[in-house]
Amino acid sequence: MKSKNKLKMMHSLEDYFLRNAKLVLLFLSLMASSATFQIYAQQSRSVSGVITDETNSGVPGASIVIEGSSTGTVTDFDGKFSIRAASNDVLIISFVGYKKQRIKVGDQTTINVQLISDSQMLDEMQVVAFGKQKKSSVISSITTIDTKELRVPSSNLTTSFAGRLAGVISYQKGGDPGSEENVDFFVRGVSTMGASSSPLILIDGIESTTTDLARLQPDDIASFSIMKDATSTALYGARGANGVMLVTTKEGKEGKAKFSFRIENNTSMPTSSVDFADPVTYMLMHNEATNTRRMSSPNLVEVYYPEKIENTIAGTNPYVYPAVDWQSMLFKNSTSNQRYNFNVSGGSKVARYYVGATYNVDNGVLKVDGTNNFNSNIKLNTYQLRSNVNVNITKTTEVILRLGITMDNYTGPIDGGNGIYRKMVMASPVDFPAYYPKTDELSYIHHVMFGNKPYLNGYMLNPYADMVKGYKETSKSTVVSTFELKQDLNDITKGLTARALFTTNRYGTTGASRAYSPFYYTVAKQDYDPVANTYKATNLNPTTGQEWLSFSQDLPFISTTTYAEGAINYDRTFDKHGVNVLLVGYLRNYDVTANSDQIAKGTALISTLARRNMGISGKIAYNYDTRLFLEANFGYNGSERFAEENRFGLFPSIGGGWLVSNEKFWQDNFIRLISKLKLKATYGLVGNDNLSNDPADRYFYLSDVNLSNNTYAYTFGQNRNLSMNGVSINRYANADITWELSTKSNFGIEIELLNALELQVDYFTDNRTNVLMQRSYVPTTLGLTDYSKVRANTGSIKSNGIDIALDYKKNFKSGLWITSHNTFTYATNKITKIDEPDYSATPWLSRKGYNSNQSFGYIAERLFVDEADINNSPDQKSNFGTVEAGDIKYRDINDDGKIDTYDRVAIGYPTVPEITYGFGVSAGYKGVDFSIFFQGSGRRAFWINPKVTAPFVNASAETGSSIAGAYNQLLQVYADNHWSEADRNPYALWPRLSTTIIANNAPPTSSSTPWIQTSTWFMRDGSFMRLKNLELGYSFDKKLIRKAYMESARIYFSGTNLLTFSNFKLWDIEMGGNGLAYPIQKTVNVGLQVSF
Amino acid sequence: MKKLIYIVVAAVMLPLMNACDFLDVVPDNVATIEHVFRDRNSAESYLYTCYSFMPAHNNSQSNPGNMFSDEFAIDKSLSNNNRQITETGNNSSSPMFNVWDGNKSLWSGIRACNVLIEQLPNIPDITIEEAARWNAEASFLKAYYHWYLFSLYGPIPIVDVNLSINSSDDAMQVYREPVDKVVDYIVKTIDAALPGLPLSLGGAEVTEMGRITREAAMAIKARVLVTAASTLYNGNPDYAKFVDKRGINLFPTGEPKIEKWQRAATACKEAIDACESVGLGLYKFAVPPGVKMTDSIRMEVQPAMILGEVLTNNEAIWLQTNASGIQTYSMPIIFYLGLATSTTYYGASGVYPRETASLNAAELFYSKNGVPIEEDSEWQTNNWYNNRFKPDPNFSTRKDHRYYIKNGYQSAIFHLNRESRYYGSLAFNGANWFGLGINDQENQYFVKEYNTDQTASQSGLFVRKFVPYRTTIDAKTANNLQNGIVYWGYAFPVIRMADLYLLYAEALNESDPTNADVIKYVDKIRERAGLKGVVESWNTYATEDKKTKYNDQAGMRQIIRRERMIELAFEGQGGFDRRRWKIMDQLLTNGTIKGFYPVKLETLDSYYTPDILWTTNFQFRDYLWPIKTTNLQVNPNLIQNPGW
Repeated sequence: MKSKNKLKMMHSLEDYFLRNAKLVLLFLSLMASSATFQIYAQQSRSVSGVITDETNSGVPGASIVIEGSSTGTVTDFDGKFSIRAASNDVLIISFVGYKKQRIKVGDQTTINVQLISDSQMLDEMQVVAFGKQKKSSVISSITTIDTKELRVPSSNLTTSFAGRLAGVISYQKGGDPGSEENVDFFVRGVSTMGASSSPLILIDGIESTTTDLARLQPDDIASFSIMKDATSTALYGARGANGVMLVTTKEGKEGKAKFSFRIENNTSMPTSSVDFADPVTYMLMHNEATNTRRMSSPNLVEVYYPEKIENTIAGTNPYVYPAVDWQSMLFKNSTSNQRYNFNVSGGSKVARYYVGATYNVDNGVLKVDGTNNFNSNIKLNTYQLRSNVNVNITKTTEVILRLGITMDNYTGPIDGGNGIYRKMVMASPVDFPAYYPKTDELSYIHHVMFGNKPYLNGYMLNPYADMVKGYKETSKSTVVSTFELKQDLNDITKGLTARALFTTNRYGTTGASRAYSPFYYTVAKQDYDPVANTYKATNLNPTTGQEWLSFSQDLPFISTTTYAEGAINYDRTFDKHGVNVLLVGYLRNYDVTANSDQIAKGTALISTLARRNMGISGKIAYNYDTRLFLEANFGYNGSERFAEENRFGLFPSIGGGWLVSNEKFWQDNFIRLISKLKLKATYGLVGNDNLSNDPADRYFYLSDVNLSNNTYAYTFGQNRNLSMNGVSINRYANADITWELSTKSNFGIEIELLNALELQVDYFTDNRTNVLMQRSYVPTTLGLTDYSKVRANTGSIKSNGIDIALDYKKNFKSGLWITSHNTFTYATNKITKIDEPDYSATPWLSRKGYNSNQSFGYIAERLFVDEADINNSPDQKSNFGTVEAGDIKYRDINDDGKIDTYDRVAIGYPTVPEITYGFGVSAGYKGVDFSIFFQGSGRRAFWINPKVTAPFVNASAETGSSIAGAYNQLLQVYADNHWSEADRNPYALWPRLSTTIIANNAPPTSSSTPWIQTSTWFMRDGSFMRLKNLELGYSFDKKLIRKAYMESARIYFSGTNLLTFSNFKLWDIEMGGNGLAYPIQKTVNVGLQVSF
Repeated sequence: MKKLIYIVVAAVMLPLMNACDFLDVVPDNVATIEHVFRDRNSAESYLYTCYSFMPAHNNSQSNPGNMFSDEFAIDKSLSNNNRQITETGNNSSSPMFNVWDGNKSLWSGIRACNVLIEQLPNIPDITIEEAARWNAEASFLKAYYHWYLFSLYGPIPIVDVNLSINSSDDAMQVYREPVDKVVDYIVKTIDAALPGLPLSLGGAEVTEMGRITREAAMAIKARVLVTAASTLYNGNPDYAKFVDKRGINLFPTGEPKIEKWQRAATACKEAIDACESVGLGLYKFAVPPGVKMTDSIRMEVQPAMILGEVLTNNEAIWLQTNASGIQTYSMPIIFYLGLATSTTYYGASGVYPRETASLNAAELFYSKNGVPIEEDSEWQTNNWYNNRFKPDPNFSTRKDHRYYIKNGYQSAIFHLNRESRYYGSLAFNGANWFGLGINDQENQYFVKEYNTDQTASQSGLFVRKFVPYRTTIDAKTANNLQNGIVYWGYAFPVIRMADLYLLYAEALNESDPTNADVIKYVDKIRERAGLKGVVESWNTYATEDKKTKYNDQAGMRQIIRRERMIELAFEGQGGFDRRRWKIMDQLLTNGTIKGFYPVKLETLDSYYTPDILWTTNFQFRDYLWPIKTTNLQVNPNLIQNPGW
């Protein structure tokens, strides 16, 4: 047993340690023999004992040296030793991978020592900007995570971030497979109100997109680090202000080939489904909505007659009196997804390789219709290949080739999963069936007879027809190829290395749609014979329907990145002085093709100009005896976006650290209790040059004009044919515009207790200045058009917060092991300077002092009880139009007797959560392992969208939806709980029903003033906690599987998003105001992992 | 050894060698504002830019002069602002018909004009004459945009020169100027532009129609001065306490000043003289060769042709020549019994007519005797007036209206015995529709509103004035909905001679009521419409108490206003006139917009019973437009109009 444990341990340590252990042994035995004389020279006695590891096994080859002398010995195979020492001697016991211990001899003759493993040494290299660094010497704030933690049954890696990464605020917005916009994440929260608050993502050092990150396979990841403070990000200069996520992929290791294979199958289903009212309630409420507001619109005629309602209840004929449950018509309860990952790694002294292949299938929850020969359900196939090869071409030269290929093949409905879901919630349940069955006399018809009803000049929305009428295929491919050369320059001077890297990658996507135009049928009143209960459906669009498919293709989108980097590194320790100097130069070029929108707007020229940046970064780090650390970094960056004289900027940072636990006094007194204590502080400047999300709007030093703008065209001439487009100024030139500047400071402490519990706490501040803002003091009378508003670097915002990681790792003698990973992140900000009008007379309107994601709106008090109540309340009609009993009553903040924009105040928490946390435990005993992980977030507010959820409202006309003939469905909760003339509940969930948007209760359509009526009425607390992950695994007995040439085999069952704890029940709370969209999924997963 | 170091350093730094060029990605010749004024040809696009801010007089939906009156019955589905402006009223948080803000803000238009004026000397290859004309055009447009803002908002800031983007807050935070100062500024600016403008386009109409001329500028000046002399702005006690933060009264206080009317009358007369000197006058539609039509049909066709005649029209003083599409929402459901009976035609894009006339507007038109139907003794004695919303009992034998109303089709008394402009400006259930490709008066299309199986129009009354008879429907290709409609395109007059004559009569009646010109200029309009003069008509046909209505100033004022409301109905003047006359509250405060709203399966009796389409909500504050509140936050020196 003992030896087996040891074997396992040795095996798990890398060859590096084995090699070093031999050297140490040799060295120590030499020392021991040379010390023999001295032992006799002193008054000393024999001291003996056993050196054991954590499992109480004896450790062979551990060194025991008397401090201040060269006398020493090593333990034998059982860990026993014997040495001659005097009472005032101090024994220094050391072994590779364990902490040095100092033991005073005193009167003892037997000294048994249990070694304390040195976790710092086990994973001693940490990925930092442009290289690796000993973890003990890292003084900046960097979160690293065991990549196993990121292994979630999802094809989107970013869904695993929430709660697992200390310092990352993250939440999921939706569940549509293949959509990259499902997750929002921010390093240390949002710390700017500028255009971009997204972190810089680097995969193997190459700037990458969120999509690239989302598609990464956890199996292929060697390390995942998040750089949060100035020292860790300053080297990225003008791009590091929002934090940096740095991922490296696995490389091969010398040794025989290791194969690993993993298969997963999971079943996914919505975490919660939205309840809609049944069709009869829908009609009754629709009638109520029509009649309750007749006074203001006397001509509403669309009413469901009692005859229809009665027959619907009676179920007389489902095709004449339809009652459609679109949700179950379109969506399945669950779907299954598969994941296959295979990788092999190994190598010789000359070459090492890691090859990984992945195939993932994600399916949507759409129902598949048998009447079509094509499947319009969502299916996302992801293929990935990764090949990392390292070759030592000479003793000192290493060449690395990395190749990563990701291919997505997506098929799905024309509208996408979210689109179909959106249509589902806007389809009338009672006006037509999804389709009419074919009767014998219509058997000659080959197409599906979709149900519909004329609407204005078109038809109503039949989401079923839209789902099955065709399908969309898109394919995306990403190829990343990297060539890297590493040269050891020990010949010049010891510790000097150089490195050069060249990368080019291509991203391409294109898609095509194939669809027919559905034929719609309806049953006219006269075509129904109630006696015989027979009907005849007539074709509504015989000329515009089409049985055969037509084809359309998307404009291909291609982007290309070329990146070159060269670095020299000098890393050497002189006695107690460790020195590290790094100098990096890099160039990046990014080209994209224009999209159709840019071509249409005429901005393609500017949008497709290369995006470039370049810079030199450097670092000088010094440590004294691995106890005191000092580091200075700089990034000197240039970006093509700015005027020549302002193009480059210098971003310096400094930091210092003190590894208290390496001090002698600590080693003597506290090391057994507190095995590590590190204090660190950093301070510096970082920049953010991403000032605009519009690629056409980036050369602020140039004016942007449209010399041929048809909005400003005019026509002259008798025949009205002499036209000329006009000139518009989109932007006035401003050479002074520059990047956002972030002044970051970080104070951190790392404590490790009892070698098992590690706590890292970081407090940070980020003072962002130079935030580009639209100058709001410019009155309209100056005559600048909306899009030529003047901008300047005038905003400032201060962020601060804390991130905590608490990890526990313990192996017990019994074979039980427990690990626990817990994080807590709190990040908030406060706008300190903002370009806004002078609000000194109305201070509540000012955003100053509030979070950048703070919403402003009206305070809703209750619903109006009656007309008299409205007349006795501050005037709302003037601004909002129709106000009736049952509409929302707002508070008159400034007491001027009317509700207008002056009455808007900060309401609720910010829209991005300020707190993200996670906690969980994993434990294993013998072959069984179990883990559970909870995740949550707090201090977030969201708004139920009063337009999208407004029942019966013509979504096409009134909510700005581009979908024709669409009327919002009725949510069950609104049916149950709304103001009505019969039940005048002033606190009902939904105000008085209406078939139109009541501007008083919901924002007006105008896109230029969105959400002006945001109010507390629809505000909800977004905090929640959920059981994010639950896993139970079983590893087969090694003896048993060895017969099958396997090294390990593990079968596991896991579930994600199984439970959610929140007060909000309408839909999955994490989706916030976006609730009526493709839902977040929970999954139940079974997997098998084999390595051999 | 050293060599190696150099090699390594070079390898690392190589990428940075070309540093200077690497970040220069913007090629030369990327368009910048400097390109615009490099030569005359590219600068010309800037002249067009200046014109492009012209408020769309030719699009009734976006013209507050149409929508903010009781003339139109707008379908609910059309657009929020069109019906809401009278139904719920305007608001200050997101005002309707907002010309102050947005990308087509008139302030942006004024800036564009100033830019052109500033840059003209820098254009190297422009002739002195052309530069002078462009300068005058830009100056006039600047004045016009100020005028349009004035007509909605009343006192406004004056922006005569552009402020730099880097101006201080103090300079940017302009004040609203008093009414008289704004008017003087507008008039002064127009006056200064006059010499640079050509007197008539002088044959260049083919390419230049739509550009401002001297006589048109004078006519606009006349309109400005008449407006400034009108009740809303002249001696209006409601705004006596409208004082800005400097303590300045923004409205003239005290009694109405007759001098303002005198000044207006002079300007009108000068404009009339200038116009007539270049051959402008009242256009009379002449039957084209090869088309057979009786005079009644000719008169019926005339109102639309006053707007729609392109080549021989001598009435328009200034035309808006950019695209209009004004007809599309006015096309009614038309039946033609000579073709397949079920063939129906709609307006734009197959949608049912959404921009219909209100019954309120229809009531205004005179009887065939040229007096208001409520004042017509014939309508009283025959009880036509009281029974006007009853179906025509004698429809089966009636022959006298056969060109106007489908023979044998039962119409209402209301539609009978009206002046020609009634039939020319409106269409209704049973109305014949001459033209549309069938220029045969015996075999016309007709309008069917009652008991159709098509989605209903709003009021059953169509603005036929917008659809010249030369618009055609190709019955063969038009088997369904809108296919086959070929609209007869025309430029919409911003101001025309009849308008100017009536402005003159109005101003003269206020300043010099006994002047014979007052009645003379009204009679010119009436004569063209086939009516007898004011004196003869009232004398002969009016009820006893109204017979001498024209004799006193107040009676004559009513007659002039009524004439104006009829002659210029639906042309975008209605809302502005009603506001400056300050009668909007009488019409729209708790008023109603009425029409014949068809409900299926009802009787003809109930069809002709007027429906209240919506109740209107007009308040005192609506006389002046609300300034969007955000503007007041940005510029604390700006104050809101009273009541908002």
